[in-house]
This record gives sequence, structure tokens and C-alpha cells, in this order.
Amino acid sequence: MSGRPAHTPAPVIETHGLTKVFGRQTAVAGLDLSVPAGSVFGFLGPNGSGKTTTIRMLLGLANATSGSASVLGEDMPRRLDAVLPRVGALVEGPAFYPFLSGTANLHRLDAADPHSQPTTRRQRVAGALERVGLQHAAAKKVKAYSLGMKQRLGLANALLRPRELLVLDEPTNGLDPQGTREVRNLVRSLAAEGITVFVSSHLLAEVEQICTHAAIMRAGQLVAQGTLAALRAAGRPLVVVRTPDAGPARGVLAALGLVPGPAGLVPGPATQAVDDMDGPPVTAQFPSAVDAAPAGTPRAEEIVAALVRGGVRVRGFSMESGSLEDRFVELTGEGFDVVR
Amino acid sequence: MSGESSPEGHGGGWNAPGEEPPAAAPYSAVAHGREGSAPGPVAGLPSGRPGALPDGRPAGAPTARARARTWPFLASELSVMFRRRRTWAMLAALAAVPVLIAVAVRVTGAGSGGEGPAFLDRITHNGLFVVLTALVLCTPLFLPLTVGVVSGDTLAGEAGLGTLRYLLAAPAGRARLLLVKYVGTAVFCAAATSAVLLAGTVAGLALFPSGPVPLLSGDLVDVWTAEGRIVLVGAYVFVSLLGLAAVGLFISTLTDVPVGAMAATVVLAIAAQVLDALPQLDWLHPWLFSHWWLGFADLLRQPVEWTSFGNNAVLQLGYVLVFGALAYGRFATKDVLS
Amino acid sequence: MTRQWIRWMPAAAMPAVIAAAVLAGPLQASSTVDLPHRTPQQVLALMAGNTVHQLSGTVQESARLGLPQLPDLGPGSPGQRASLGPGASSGATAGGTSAAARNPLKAATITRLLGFLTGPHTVRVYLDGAGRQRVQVLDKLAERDLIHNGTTVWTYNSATNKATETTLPGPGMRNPRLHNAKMHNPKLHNPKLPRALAPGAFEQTPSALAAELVKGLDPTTQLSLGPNTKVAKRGAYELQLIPRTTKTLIGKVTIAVDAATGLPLRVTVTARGQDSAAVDIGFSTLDLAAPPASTFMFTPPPGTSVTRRTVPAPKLHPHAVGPRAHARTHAAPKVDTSGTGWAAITEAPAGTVPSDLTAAPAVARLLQPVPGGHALSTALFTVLITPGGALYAGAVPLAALEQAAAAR
Repeated sequence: MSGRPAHTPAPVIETHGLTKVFGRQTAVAGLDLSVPAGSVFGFLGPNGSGKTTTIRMLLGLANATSGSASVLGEDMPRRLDAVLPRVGALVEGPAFYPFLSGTANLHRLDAADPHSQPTTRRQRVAGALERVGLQHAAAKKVKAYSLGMKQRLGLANALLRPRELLVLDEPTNGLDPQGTREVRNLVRSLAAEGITVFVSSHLLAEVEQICTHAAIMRAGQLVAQGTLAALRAAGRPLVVVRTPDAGPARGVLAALGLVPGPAGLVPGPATQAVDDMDGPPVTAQFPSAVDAAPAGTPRAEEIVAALVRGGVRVRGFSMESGSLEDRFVELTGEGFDVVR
Repeated sequence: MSGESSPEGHGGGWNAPGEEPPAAAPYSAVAHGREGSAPGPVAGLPSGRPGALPDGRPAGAPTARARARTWPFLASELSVMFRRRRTWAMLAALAAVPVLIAVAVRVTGAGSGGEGPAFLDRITHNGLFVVLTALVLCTPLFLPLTVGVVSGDTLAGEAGLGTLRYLLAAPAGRARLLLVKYVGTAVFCAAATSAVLLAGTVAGLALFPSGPVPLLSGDLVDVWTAEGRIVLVGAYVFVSLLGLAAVGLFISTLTDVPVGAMAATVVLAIAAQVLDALPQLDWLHPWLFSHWWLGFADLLRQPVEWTSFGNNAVLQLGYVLVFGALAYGRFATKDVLS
Repeated sequence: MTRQWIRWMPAAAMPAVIAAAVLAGPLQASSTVDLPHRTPQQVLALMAGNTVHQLSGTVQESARLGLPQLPDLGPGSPGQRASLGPGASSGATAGGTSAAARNPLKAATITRLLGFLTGPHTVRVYLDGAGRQRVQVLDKLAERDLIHNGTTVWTYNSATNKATETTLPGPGMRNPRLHNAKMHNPKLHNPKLPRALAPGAFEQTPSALAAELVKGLDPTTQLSLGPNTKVAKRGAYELQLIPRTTKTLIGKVTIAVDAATGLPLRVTVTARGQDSAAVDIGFSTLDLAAPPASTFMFTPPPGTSVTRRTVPAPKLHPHAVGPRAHARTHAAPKVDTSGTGWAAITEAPAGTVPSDLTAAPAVARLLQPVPGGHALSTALFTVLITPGGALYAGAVPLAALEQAAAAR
């Protein structure tokens, strides 16, 4: 499952066997996460899959039951004081003092950092508010803010100081489409500045649009991680054969170790373009992802050759890697909010 | 309140002892990390970014950065506390106690025959007794109530709002946050005592005659000496509340529900006084934080009896140490999940 | 995670540190005190020859007599002067003119006296020569004062804001002479002295109680010296008085005698078979310098209700001789004594006890009905009130009192 290109320096976030157990419930089980520097890393998973718990452990808010984590190359939570000033965070939604103004809230949080410069605080707060478009509401009490404004204020807090890593937990929650777009642009611009952004989300579309890398959590376990492209590719490819000889084709494919779909099945959008002049196409799925496939797994041209050798009239052949969404559903199981 | 003037400038002084074994190392490490990665992402930041303002990245940054500043955080804590309407409501309620006493005595002319709280019958002779009567009423009940609210709210309140996770991610540092919270509560204790003292003095002097004040021993002292004694009494009451504040701080680390922590602290304050009144438990009495609360009267004797002040201070210090350590143990190991 | 328990270390260490600090105190106190060797008799003589007539000190008193603690009756009640001991009601006892003296067993007085006996008290004592004394009983949020300066004795109670001024007979010269006589009298006690005027005459001071206790010293008492001790930071010999008879409730009496001056610093009385003292009266602080003269000046504050009276020349009652002070409150009526030494029983004839006494709720709580009437049993002494109002008291078990009553 290693999606890390060899040239990348040390990962910005790296965990080994990170585990968190609450009582009898295991929230995070043996997490091996690796977030490359400079990436926009999508941390995907349904609600309750352990994303926020993982973020809490990465930020030193919760103690790991076992395993280790390092952030920006430093051991966490042992080097928490050295690491956290370099990390901007939005954890599980924004939280502010409702009786204080937006500016006062940011001043408060900035003062909490023992290493922030009091002399530049005013400028930095104003700059951060401007960056998230809250300069006009800066003097308003936070209790008068909408959820979207609070979310922006939370982002402003993460941007109070120059950061090397931003950890954003569900950053577009509560934002209208316009706000969502703005956040996306903000993340892109931050990434362009070279900041590593770690975005957790249960929304696939969000991740697909802004991320270069992703990891997928399911019930406390990491089920996949890597570049977005690799994740897409890592879906078990689907072989689609257009042929009038459905029976023999299925036999040949099965002999090659693929898993033919049931007759007449139209499994995915990729097969829909096929007209019915030959009847429904024959489909077969690889038993495992290409990356992790054993050496004996046939390549596309070998499959075609075998079909032809088997007397199958191949009128069309394609190998679909599937969408990320298929992959996501496949990995996490259905029954949750995949798309907005 | 400038960070430069802070005495704990020698980095790491306020940090959790267990968190950073070599006190000065982490911050130099920060600098290293930044310098080391400077050619990479950070150097690429456009200078218009808020964080790229003179935040110490240029020359001299490591030393400036190695300074842990806690005074601004404490100032921020106090400003948050005193920007809450609740804080002012409590101070106003406390200030109302002596005013109500003064007005009631003035209107009814009551206060003869030794009925009611101590010193009540003296008010008509001397206005300064308003303060003392108010303190007799406030010390066992109203002051612990307000201190219970403030100390119970310290961490549970932040947890309830969710701001605790942001403070810790700032990173405030758990020991440092605990310390700032405790000092903030202590400042409130002083403010609460002062509210009673000031309102009582003003109301007493406005509504009643002043003049030489009889002490408990029957000796008369002039108004300024008496006012000095009253300030001493205020100091005594302030010290008396510190133990309860530490207990409240510890309780506050146990829960994310601020109301629960407040209620538990207030209940403990009352329970301690009930236990103090049970003669069967006299072995326990010297260990109760409320045991010396009303001993401030010893400062009104001639000559001043300092024993109870000393005993009280030692007792409260013990509570602060024990419950401070418990609060640290709990808070530093706690999973912040709010 | 090993780091977690490290963070609990302070919480574990703090109670240990405090426990160590608390335990270190007594350890230090119990470390040996080096004093020149003396025999019990020499210590007794040292005590008799004590020359202290100037001091300021704080006396801690506690009595655990096995009585239920009475509800705080409020320091305000005038009768609580009784708890200042005969010293406070000095004029009364000496002159026999006050109501309290005529009927010392007034229910309220007794109740308050018992209230005093059941709770701990802190008393500050100032002495300067024979004629100047001040005693302050430090109550919660209140204070009772007795100021004796020459021929004037003030009492002041801050809770009731009442004061009494008593003018003693004769020109100021007389009493000091008597005091000096007493202070240098090796016999320690001159029964003809107005007790109120003797230095430290209040029951509260260890000196007075010690004087009472050694007064009746005879072969029925085994006299010995315990290990040297420290009281109020002063090295002291510890006299131990152990009754040879088993008929008394008293098991042991200790008197800590200041090695430098002979001043009794602490007295404890332990009941037979008990380990901890039932009565413990001792200085917690002591300064032998003269208190400032202003200490003995007293002007009642404005608004105080002042009672004034003058005491004629004293007619003194010989006091019942007994090892204890408690039974002596009822000095006025005819009093007989039977038995000797520690087991002596004081008897007051029928009619001494007003019928309303046993009915007073606070007293009734303390009394238990017994075949011979009502009894008050404490760790150190027993009082029996017969239905006829006769009173028997002594540091003896109840059975001994019943026997004495039956013998009448």
C-alpha cells in the first residue's frame, strides 16, 4: 500500500501501528499513515471511522494506546511543544468563546501559544481574518456568527502563523457552496505555497477536487492510502469484453483467474456506452488490485490473446480502473453519505 | 504585560515537567526545524501572508522564539474572565451583600441584642462594621459559591465550549494552561473579596457614622488602623479561598460539563463546613479547608493574633499543592475529546 | 505508556511530603531535651520558687471528658464568664455579693461551664507584676476579656458588647503585697488569698491548675519525673503525679515545669486506663518580657453597656481541698468533704441544687437518671444529684458517690 514516491523527503506525518482503545471499543487500530511533504492529503472515511480520533492523537490531544506517531519529523506527543506551533489545526468543527468578538477570539488563541510574538499579533490576526474574508465581521461577537462564519474563523485561527502543516478536520462543514469553493481555493493556494495540508472529510467529492493523496479509513482501520491516481488504479480492474460468444468468453476469463460477473450484469458506468447489438458485455474482475497483484496475473494484451485463442470473437475490449467513488464504496461499505 | 519582561523568559519554565525533558532544547529544535526546511516550503511563502509578517523568522529569531511568554496568556485569561457578564454579575451580587446589610440596618434600625450575624449590632455605632458583617455572611456561603463557579468552570468550561482543544493545539501546554487557569481563579478570589470590602466600606461610611473602631478586645483604634485591619481581613479571606479554588480546578479536570464541576465544588465547600460542625469528627477538623475561614476575627484582636492566619495559610498551601498536583496528574494524562 | 504515570508522580508525592512534614513536628518535639538533672522534689521546689511575674502567652485548652459537645451557646451569654473560672467572677466569690456567687448552680451558669469543659479554647494571658493582668478568651468572631489593673477589674464581652467594672477594696498597695507574698511563698498556696488576684489565678493557666494539683500533694501520690519535654519552645521538666489509690478516676497528672524559671507550662490530666489526656492545658506561645502598659488600659468602647460595682473588703471562704478544680464552682453553700486525697468526695446538703437545673434541656442531656437521682459521669469526675437536691461530686466512680449518698 505504499504510495510514497521515492524522491519525497521524510513524510510530514507518519504513524506506526497507532492504536486508540476507549474502554472496550477500538477507535483506531494499528494505523500506519504516511503523509508526504507538500501533498494535499485527503483523510477519507465515514463518520465514526476514527478520523477525528487519529487527528487528536496527531495533535497530542489524546494519548495513543499503543504505536507511535511523528509529525514534521518530530515524535508526538513528546515533542508537542516544538511541533504544534508549526501546525495549524481545525479539529472537529470550530469552537470559540461566544461572548468574544472574532478578533478577540483569535487574540486569545494566539496568546495561548507561548512562542507567538505579541508585537505582531494585531497584524497577524487582521491578516488571517482578511484571508478568510471575515474582516467585516471581525468586531462582531461570535455568538452572532453563522456556522459558516465560525468555520472561516477556525480557518483563520489555523493561519495565524506561518505553518508547515495544516490539519483541517471537515473544513467545509456548514459552508454554503460559495464558501466551500472558497475553502477549496484557499487550500489550493496554501498548497501552492508549499504547505502540506491534511484534510479529513467524509465527502469524497471534496477530496477528489483538492487532494493529491488520500487515505481511506474504515472502522478504525486504514484500508487504502496513496496518490489519488494510484488509489483509482488500485481498484480491482474490470475487464469488459464485447462479444457475441458470452459463454466461451466467461470460460476463458475464469481460466485466467479472473472473476466473471454474473451473466447479463452491467456493473458500472463504464459499460453503459456499449450498445446491445451483441447482447450485454461480459465482465470479469481482477481478484486483487493491480499493484498488489501476484506475478502470474495476466496483462490486458495477454487476456485478449487468450480470448482470441479460445475462439471468442472479440469485438471490443476494455479494462476499467473504476472511479474513486467505486473504490471508496468498495472499501468502506455502503450505507453512508458518500456524496453530498 | 510585555513578554520581554516576563520573569519566566528562560524557556520551558512553564511547561509540563514531563513534556520536555531538556528545558531549552525544544525551542532551539523549532528553530532548527524551520531553518532546516527553509529552502523548502516555508521559503516559498508569499510575503503578503499574515504569518510572514515579522514573526521572528528573520535574523535573531531563534532566541526570540525560545522565550516562552506566559504573561500575555494570563492577561488574555483575565480579559476573557472579565469580559464575561457572569463574572460581573457575581461581583455585583457580592457587592450587594454589604450594601443590603447597610441599607437594612439603616432602614430598620435593627441590630441590638446580639441577634443575627456577628458585628451586626455594631453597625449603627460604626459604619466600618458593615464590611465585617458582610464578610461573616459571605465567607461561608457567597464567596465559596462564586469561587466554586469560577474554579469549576476553568477547564470544564473550556472543554464544554470546545476551546480547550484549540488552546492545547495552540499549543498552550497543559501545565501552563493549568497554571494560568489557577492564577486567573486566584485573581477572581481577590476581586471577589475586594468587591465585598469596597462596597462594604463605601456603604458603611455613607450610611453610618465612622470614628474610632472598637476591636474585639474592646480596645479602640483610629479609622485608618481599622481600615488597615480590614484590609488584612480581606487578605485573610482571599487566602482562605485559594484552597477551594485548587479543589475546584481539580474537579474541573474531571469532567467536560462545567455545571457539574461548579456544583460539585460548591457542594464540597458546604460539606466541608458541615463536617467542621460535627464534634464527632474533631480529628478531621484541622484538615478541612474551611476550618479557619472565620478565623479572620483573630486579626481584629488587640494585639493581632497571627496564629490562625499562619495556620490558614499553611492549610490552604497544602490544599493548593495536593490538588494542584492532582489536577496536573489528571489534566496532563487526560484525553481531550471534547 | 510510561509517561502517564510520571505525570501522576507529583500527585502521589505531595501527600507524602505533607505527611512527612506533619510527622516531623512531633518527632522534633519528642527529641531529647538536655536539661540539668533534677529530682522530682527539686522540680517541685523549682516550681514553687517560680519567679515569673511578667509574661505574655497563649494557652491552649482542651477537655475531652466524654461529654457530648454542647451546642455553641454563643460567647455572648454573660454567664459564660463562669468559664473564665473563679477569676472572672472574682469579685463575686470574694465578696459573696453577686447573684452568681449566691447561687453558683444557676442552670445557665452550669450549662455554660459544661460548654466550656467540652470544647477547646484558646486564651491569651498577659501578666505584668502582681496588679496587672489581662486574659482574653478567643471565641469564634468574639472575645471575652478580663483586665485587671490595680484596683480595677474590667470584664468585656465583645459579643454582647457588655462590660463590668469592679473596683477592688483598699488602695492599690494591698493586693500587690499579697501577690508578692504568694509568689515567693514556698508553700505555693495561701488559701487566704483572693484567688482572683493571684498571678495566673485563672483556671485557664497551667500555673493555676498546677498549683491546685500539687497543693494537696501527700503520700497518696506517687511523684516522678518523666522525660524532659519542650513546651512553647522552652525546655521543661515533666512532673508526673500518679495516684496510689485505685478509687479515683484520675490515672495520671503531668506538669511540665519550665527549666529556666520554674513556671508550669503545661498540665495534662489523664483518666485511669486512658492513653490520651482528658484535660490538656498548656502554653503554645510564651514570652517572658513585660507586655506593653497599654495592654492593661481599658476603656469600654462607645455603645457598651457597663455595669459598675465595688467590692467591700474580702471575707474569704476556705476552699474545699481537693485535687481538682471542677467541683469547686459550688463554693458558697455549706460543703463537706468525705474521703481523702484523690478519692475525696465533696458533698453539698439537700437544697443546693435548684430543681430547675435538672430540667434545663442542655443539662438534662448530660445527666443520666440513676437509682440515687441524676448523675453526670465524665472521664475525670462524677456528680450525683439526689432527688432532694443534695450534690455529691468527686473524681471517683459513680458507685462511690451513691455509697456516700446512701451513707447520709
